[in-house]
Amino acid sequence: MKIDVDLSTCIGCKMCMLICSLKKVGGFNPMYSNVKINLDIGRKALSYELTDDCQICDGICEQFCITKSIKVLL
Amino acid sequence: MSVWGKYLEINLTYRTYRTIDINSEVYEKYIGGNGIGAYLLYKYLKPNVDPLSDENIIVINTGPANGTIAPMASKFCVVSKSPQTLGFTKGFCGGEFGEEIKYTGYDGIVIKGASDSWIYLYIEDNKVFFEDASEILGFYTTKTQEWLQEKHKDAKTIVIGPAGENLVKYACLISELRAVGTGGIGAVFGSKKLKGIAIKGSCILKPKNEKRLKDFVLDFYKKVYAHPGVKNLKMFGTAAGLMHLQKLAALPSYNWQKETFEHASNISGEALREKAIKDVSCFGCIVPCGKYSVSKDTFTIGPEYEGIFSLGTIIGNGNLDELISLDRLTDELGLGQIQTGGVLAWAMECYEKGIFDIKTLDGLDLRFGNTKSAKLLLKKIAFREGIGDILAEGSSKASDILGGKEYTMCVKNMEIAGHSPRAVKTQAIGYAISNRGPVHCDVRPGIEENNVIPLGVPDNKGKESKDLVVWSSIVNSIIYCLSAERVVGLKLNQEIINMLNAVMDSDLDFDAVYKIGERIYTLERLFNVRDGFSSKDDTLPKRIMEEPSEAGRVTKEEELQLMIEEFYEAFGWDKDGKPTKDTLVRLSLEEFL
Repeated sequence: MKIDVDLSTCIGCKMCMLICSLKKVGGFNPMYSNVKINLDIGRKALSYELTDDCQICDGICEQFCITKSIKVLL
Repeated sequence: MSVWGKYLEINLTYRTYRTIDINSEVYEKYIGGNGIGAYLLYKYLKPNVDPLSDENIIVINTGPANGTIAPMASKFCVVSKSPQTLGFTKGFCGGEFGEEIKYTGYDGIVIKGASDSWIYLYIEDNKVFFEDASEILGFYTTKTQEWLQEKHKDAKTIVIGPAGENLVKYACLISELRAVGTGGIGAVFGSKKLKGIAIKGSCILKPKNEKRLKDFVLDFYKKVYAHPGVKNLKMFGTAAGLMHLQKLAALPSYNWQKETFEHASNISGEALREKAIKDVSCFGCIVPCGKYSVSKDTFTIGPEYEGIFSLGTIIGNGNLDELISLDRLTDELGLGQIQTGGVLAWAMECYEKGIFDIKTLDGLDLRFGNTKSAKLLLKKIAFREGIGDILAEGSSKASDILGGKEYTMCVKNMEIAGHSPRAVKTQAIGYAISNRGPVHCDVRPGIEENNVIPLGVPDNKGKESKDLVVWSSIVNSIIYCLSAERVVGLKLNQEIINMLNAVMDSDLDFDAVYKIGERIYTLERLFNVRDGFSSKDDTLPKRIMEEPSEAGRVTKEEELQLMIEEFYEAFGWDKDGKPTKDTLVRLSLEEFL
């Protein structure tokens, strides 16, 4: 499983990173997330990165992305 | 766990640090954030310390919701003794710094002492590094943060600008492009020769009850965007209500000489929308109230309503490009916007009325609306050059030297925020009684501005104001954003208690949570009472009490006094504003008797 992030609609809340860390390590800390949203100092989304581990879950980041900027690619 | 039960205490004088354990009873009584900050400040400080001496402390902390997926829980709290009011102060800031504190394994930081040379702190989990900051002295806040992030990849930052370095009494803290705006805590940083903090944590914050928290969040998701207030907030940011205030004739302008502004539509939320290229939110917040706005020469996040008031309407500026530019400049210099605008507006009125002349202003033609002169003056204030050295003390102190006292718009030496205390009676009470000076965030104005309770009449407003203060004390301790009032309600209710219980996995009921709110605000009050504050400090600027707005509104002194007495009585404070012994016992504050 891989995901695609629409940076034009992403608001930079990083909820995807929080929920991913919960899924992956059982608690919150975005540094452990498999998806990383890179922001500028005004919190505008510039880019995103995925780790190789981003294929082990049911796409919970998509469920918690309120702007629907994240799409799970089958 | 939603809290760690420990704080990191850093002593700048000796360059030492240690972990302090906070027992569970303190969390039960004060929750976190605002509440525990007030508790620690009272316990740590002796009476009447000089806010800019090494005896003052700074508490930077979080609440149980921060760092989790609890929606809109993105802010952190900073508590200290204010160099402007000489009383209790607290401020709240969005961004990501607070959550990173949580990921270091601490709920907060206590900074004591003062360094003898300029430093910044780098905190990585439970280690603190005291690093030389001489190279970045004088840097603007963005450049300072970029410098720190280059040295410490992925660290989150909070910094001061030149205003804080130069002890401007209303200097702020900046994190990303957001601010801990009021109270002058930037000057407290400066007095400790602390240019900033970079922080990074690798601890994993485990929820107390994962299913309960996730269920709460997904349920919250279902209703948040359907709420009409949230739709406005997403579209226009906190400037959404500006034209509503204009229609109410409750939009302050020209140093509060008027309460309408002829150029309001040029700088409204709707006009700002045209400048916004992106909607952005803070960390963990699903409501993007931040408007990433671009002008001809810069960009900013906002301006927020208070920025539009302080750098727009009260200084007679109706040019949105100039407003964006001023918004960014105040942040870069590290000047708290509301007080900065208040100082500018006062100086403009004094200049136009001949209290002082262009020579006194170092040649600046400071007419209302002259933003070019305003920008030059802001730099003079931040660097304390020429007239800026006097204005850096705030308008109240400056008027002791320059005259024009009758035009100052201050309570407790601090310039008032941007919601009309003539029209909004709960706000009149709020500005007068607030423990941290005349802010709009202890008693929130929305409930009356939107006629949920009747606008402009004094009946029952003392009791209503108490409920509003209890609400903000709880929200600021959990901590989530005050803007969530649009979703969860303007007073304490089950929705808020559900959020707290979901995060804490607790079963607190309304009465228990309400009492915590009363306790927190009463403890802040005790801090000020200990330092000599009394009911005589709970007042309003003379203009508000004597000069009607063009809509004929005024809040006369006698009317204010009656409302304040009702507020005191509702809180169980005596006629001098001092909490009674019975109240302290009822609120389990016996240790402060």
